[in-house]
Amino acid sequence: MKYSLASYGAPYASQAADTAFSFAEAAIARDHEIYRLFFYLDGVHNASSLATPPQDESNLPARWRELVEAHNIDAVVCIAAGLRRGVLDEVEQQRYEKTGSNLNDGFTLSGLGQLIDAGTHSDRLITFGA
Amino acid sequence: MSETKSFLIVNRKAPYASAFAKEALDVALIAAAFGQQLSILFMDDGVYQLLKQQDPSGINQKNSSQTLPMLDMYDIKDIYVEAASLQARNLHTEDLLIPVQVIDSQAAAGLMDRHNILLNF
Repeated sequence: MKYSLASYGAPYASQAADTAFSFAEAAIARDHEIYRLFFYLDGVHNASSLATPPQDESNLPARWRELVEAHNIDAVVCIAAGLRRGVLDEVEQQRYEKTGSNLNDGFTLSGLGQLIDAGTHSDRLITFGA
Repeated sequence: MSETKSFLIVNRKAPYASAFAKEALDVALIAAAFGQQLSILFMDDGVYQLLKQQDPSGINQKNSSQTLPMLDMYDIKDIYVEAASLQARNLHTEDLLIPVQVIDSQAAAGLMDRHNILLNF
């Protein structure tokens, strides 16, 4: 089955963020295809490279990056939602003359059209955190 | 985009307490711009998103209801409200900013059944 996941919950604030990750892991373990991960609303914080939880807590953003890179998953952060909440790549950092960027490796900033595209091209689009 | 599917956006949350109402409307407009068949259902506290005369300037927020008339401009005509959600909050269609179709809970379930993709907000 070809799945896409829409994730709206921030790590450490919403269990939905963890549940989305667990679902993605389980789907891959069962040889399903992840067509796209789409991070929207507060879910954009999952793509921050700056999250620094205590060592005895799960580092969900780091685990997302590892999963995305290991399986070459298309992981998209809504650019408008990301900019609003301070999740920027280097291009946006320069465009808005900010002091840093924090979009994790393996993620891309793109538009909401990618969510619609995920819906039309996947067998299932599953929302976490609505 | 080669394929089209039917999308149902379900708005269940009050405006301003979270970004859901505003960012759900953004999804609706983009879906329409991409030529997708789109319906919107307001239910539960989501019906508050439709109220006339919203003014959140006192809490430093933009009035997201100003986007609602744009739905018509984007040719989004299928806008539904669940009757029980209105009744439970003592609201009536006269209280709402845009024309909507009021449907019962069974019809709302039918909407969810016959659309390909459900986007909950």
